[in-house]
Amino acid sequence: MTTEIGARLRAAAREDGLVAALRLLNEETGGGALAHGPAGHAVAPVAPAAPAGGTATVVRTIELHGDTLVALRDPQGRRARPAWSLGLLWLRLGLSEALLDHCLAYLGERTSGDTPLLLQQMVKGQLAEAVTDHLEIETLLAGTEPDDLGDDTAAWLHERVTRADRTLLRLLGGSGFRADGPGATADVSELLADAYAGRDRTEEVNR
Amino acid sequence: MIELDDRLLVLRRYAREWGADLAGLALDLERSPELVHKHLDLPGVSFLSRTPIPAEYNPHPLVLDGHRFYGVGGLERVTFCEEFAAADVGMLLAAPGPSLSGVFVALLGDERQKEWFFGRLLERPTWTFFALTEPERGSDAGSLRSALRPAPDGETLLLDGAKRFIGNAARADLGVVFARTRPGPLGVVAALVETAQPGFRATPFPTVGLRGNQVSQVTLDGVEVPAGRVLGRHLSPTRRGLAGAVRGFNRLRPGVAALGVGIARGAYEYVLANRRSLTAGERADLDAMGRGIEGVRQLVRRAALAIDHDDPALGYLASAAKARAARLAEEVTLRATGFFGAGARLEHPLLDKFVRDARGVEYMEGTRNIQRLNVFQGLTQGRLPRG
Repeated sequence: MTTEIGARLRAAAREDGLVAALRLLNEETGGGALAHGPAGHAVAPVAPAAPAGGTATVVRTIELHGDTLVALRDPQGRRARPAWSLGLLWLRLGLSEALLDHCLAYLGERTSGDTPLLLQQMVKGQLAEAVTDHLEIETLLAGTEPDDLGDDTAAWLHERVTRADRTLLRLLGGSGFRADGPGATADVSELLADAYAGRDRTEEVNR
Repeated sequence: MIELDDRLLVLRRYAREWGADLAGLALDLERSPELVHKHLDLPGVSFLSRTPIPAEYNPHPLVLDGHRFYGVGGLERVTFCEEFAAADVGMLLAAPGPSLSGVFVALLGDERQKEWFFGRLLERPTWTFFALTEPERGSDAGSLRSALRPAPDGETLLLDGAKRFIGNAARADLGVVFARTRPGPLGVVAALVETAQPGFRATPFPTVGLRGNQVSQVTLDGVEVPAGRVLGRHLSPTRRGLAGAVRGFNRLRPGVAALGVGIARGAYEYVLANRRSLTAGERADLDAMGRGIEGVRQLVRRAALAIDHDDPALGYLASAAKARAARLAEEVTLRATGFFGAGARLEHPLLDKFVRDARGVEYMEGTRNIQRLNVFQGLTQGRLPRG
């Protein structure tokens, strides 16, 4: 993957949202097939037609701001290519940056007493933590080639994005919990990490 | 360590059994919050519909193994809150009953108000709501703008304003609304409001979790409130104003903190029940989670005992407990998914629900930052016990 594609995915996520960026990720790096995670899961913006006799099952339908995504399980699904996996990290970074943008606007308008929440010291510190997470993730991703990104490193980076998102969501109070706001995007972003990061531990679960 | 006595151990045992019934309904309730209407006879829902009601207004309390339960004590409340939340916090928050409003009526209401409010709740399962939070201003009671003004007839009051993030408002018959009669801290009042009154409108909106609670936005457009429904009319303005409200919130907060402990415990127990052949490292991680849960549980119990003992440090202890419980719920639920690897949330809907519900604990009864500021005040003003 070139850094240019990563930058486009990051910008698409930040400016156009999760679904548009996920479509771009699939177009640019999907290689014409749906990407699946280590345990055979996929999250896609539209329901792909299952081939007759196919092994895919829909495990969840996800509504996000007027769009519909489906989560699938297909034990025989093709694993995400390294370029797709790296692109997903750029995508989630862009979503987290969009959440930070939203927080800055929201906290600039809200006041406690006569002071914007944005100017309160604790809030400043937490925003600084989140943007530092972004800088760290960006620096680690910059120049990384798809084949250089191991599964464990990718999982660790996904966790860092989730932690940054959670820090930001807490600053939004109840509005971050609305399913018609940025908190829902953050939840679907976590579901993308859930599907595509981590190890396949299916055999370690009681059934 | 703060341990439960024999009476509360009985309550915990029953609440755990009742919780098992609720857990089986958790996912269905999340899809269809109205499902709660079909389960009013479940022992857990029935218990919630009748608590907290003080003994003098409840002639027929729940009796378990010879012990009477009214749901009014601090330690009693956090005990059953944790048990229900470990099963499904959605049903706990969807259930009818006095809930948060009951705590305020018990604290600030006069005899007639208590008889009217608790009497209504004992007639049949009745939902209540509790409306403090406002658009743009959040849960800062000092800056609220909803207004209670005299009606032209001089007999009644009229309520105008807007509220946000109000659980059960769309299914409630009555509840407590915070409003202002004049500027300043003494102008803050809590009033009992009936939702059937013209001008009351509640509209549920979608949330990431806690869907059983049907969180709503409420508009109040000239809602009529009899003068006798303003809580604390028999108290001095300093006891019924903002200071009275703060006393009430302090009494609610340990229960909210217990929800966080319960959600964390639910996720922890889900791992225990559904993972096999843990490695030594995983076992160590899980043990650490268990210790973390016990630590916050002790903080919550300490705050709960401060209610029962009228401890002046209650507010600060409750804030410390609530901030830690919100953090615990988020951290433990996220760590629990790691035990199931890729696709954990997609393959384990109950665990997924714990992850989403945990986020809701943060904003109930004040965010972590608000609680930290309160703890800081207790520290610097010498009101937080430090040995």
